Amino acid sequence: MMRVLIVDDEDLSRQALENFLKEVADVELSGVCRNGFEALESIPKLKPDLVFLDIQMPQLNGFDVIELLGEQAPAVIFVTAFDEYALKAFETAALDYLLKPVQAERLAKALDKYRRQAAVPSPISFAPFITSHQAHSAPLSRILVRDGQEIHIVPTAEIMYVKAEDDYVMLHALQKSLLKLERLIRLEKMLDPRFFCRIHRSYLLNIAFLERIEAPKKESRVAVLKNEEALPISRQGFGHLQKLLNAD
Amino acid sequence: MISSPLFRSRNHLVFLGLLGGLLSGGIVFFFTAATQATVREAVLLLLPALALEMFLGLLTWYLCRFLPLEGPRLANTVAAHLLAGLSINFFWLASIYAYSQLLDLLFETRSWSVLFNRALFFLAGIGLGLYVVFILLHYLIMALEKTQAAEQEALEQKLSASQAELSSLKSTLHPHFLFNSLAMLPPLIAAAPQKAESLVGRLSDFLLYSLRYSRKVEVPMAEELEHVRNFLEIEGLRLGERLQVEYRVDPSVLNNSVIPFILQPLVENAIKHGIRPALGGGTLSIVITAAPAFLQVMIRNPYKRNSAAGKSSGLGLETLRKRLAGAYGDAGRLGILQDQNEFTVELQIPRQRKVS
Repeated sequence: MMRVLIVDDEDLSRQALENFLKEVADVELSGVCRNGFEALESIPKLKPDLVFLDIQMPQLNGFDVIELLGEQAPAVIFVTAFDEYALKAFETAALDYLLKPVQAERLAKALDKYRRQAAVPSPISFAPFITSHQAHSAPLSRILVRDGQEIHIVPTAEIMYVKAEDDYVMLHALQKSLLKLERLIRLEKMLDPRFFCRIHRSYLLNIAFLERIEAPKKESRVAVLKNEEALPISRQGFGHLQKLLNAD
Repeated sequence: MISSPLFRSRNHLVFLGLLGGLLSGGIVFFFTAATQATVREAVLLLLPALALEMFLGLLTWYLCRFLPLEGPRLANTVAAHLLAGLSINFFWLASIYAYSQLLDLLFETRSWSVLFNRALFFLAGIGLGLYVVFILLHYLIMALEKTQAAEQEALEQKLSASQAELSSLKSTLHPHFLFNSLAMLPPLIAAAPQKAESLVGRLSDFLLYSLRYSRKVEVPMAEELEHVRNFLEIEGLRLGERLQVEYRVDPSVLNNSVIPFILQPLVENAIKHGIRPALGGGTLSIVITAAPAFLQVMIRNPYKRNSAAGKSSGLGLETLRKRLAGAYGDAGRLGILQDQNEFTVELQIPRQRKVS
């Protein structure tokens, strides 16, 4: 038996898929989710074999769900409405998808393909897909952080600075600080370079929150933020900062 | 001097040459008549003088550019020209005097300085007259250029309005919307055949409006509103309970004529950026009120600045703004109000006779 989960925010689309899947002998519907948040909660709990994941959903879209699930991401068949951007993302990553309205024959084909792949188990990597998706949406307007059961959506405009912590980064935002599994150098590439400046090997500063630069000793400068927090500036970082500040 | 607009085109040059030739001929003729000098003598004395005057006259372009011929500073302009005219003329006469002294040294055929003295008033008059001719020419050209620039601007605005018209026409057919609406049909036919039937009806009305009115200049507000209602009904099938719509429309506006597809882009934006990105959806409110001279449309939707994953290009609003400017000029206005939780678009258009 193949245990399947449907994630879609539109009643009609869920209904349509349910109707089709009911007819398939070896499929058991283990649940339906109405948005990305429900999916993030249900997928680790229900551990379905296969997820039909809609792309266009409020707040957390299908791409976000995959990104947040990380290693926990199950086998997925993407379902999408007509959307040039989404279609392009699938094509660049050479991923299969179903275009709405889902048709019975197409669905059967996709299920067949899944069965064949499941017979020869091999880990699915969404990494190139996520990368291409993120490259399309750069500069990011928000960053998603998963903290246990909680999903935080952090607008990049509220991030004061980011500090590298080994394989993680600590996002210091206005209201809270959050740890995210990400490399600083990768994050830097996805943030708006007009605001985020690498002032130090381990610090990425949002210059919107910069109050002043102090030099207590020669050759050692610190960036003082609006909240009086002080961050070190390396010599190379000072060069970056000068360039950015003079660009205005 | 080269920057004088009199040099700007070939026609100007020809005109200048003809005018200069005629004037010079006339001046030489009257000079001989007034002083009993021979034509040769007149030419010898006057030709360099007139060339100098021409140079000085062209210089007045700079003066004319900085001294407007209208507005509250007209008195200043007149005074400045009087002063400039007199000083230039004085300089000119002094130059001719010096030149006549030179001629006395070179050609002793007659006393040139006596000739100059005899012609002093005549020359002063000619100098002032030419000064006036030059500044008038310059002001004339400035006025012509101004109207040309205004015409050009009007033309550009018209062009940009019709480009906006074209792009809005393209989007009214909405291939995306059509495709995604059709995608709803199969599940609807299975689950709720009556709703499927209603969807087909709404969709065909929606299309019919786009086809019929894409080339019309004006439609009654009632029909535009019906078009929006069709659109929202279809979106409502997709969004289910997430979309609530509230209409408050003053019945007296229904006859008012408006340009077609004036509301649809606004409602579409409200769905795309306000209702759809919100987990629980929200209420879209459409309020149309009437004042004696204009009517006001307010479209309000919940909006969270950072909830939308996609970025809005604002292109739809820009297009609508251009269309409004093209159709109503300053009388059509589009304003945006945005606070923590709500997004409101305010549209104001003039009241007009009903469309037949």
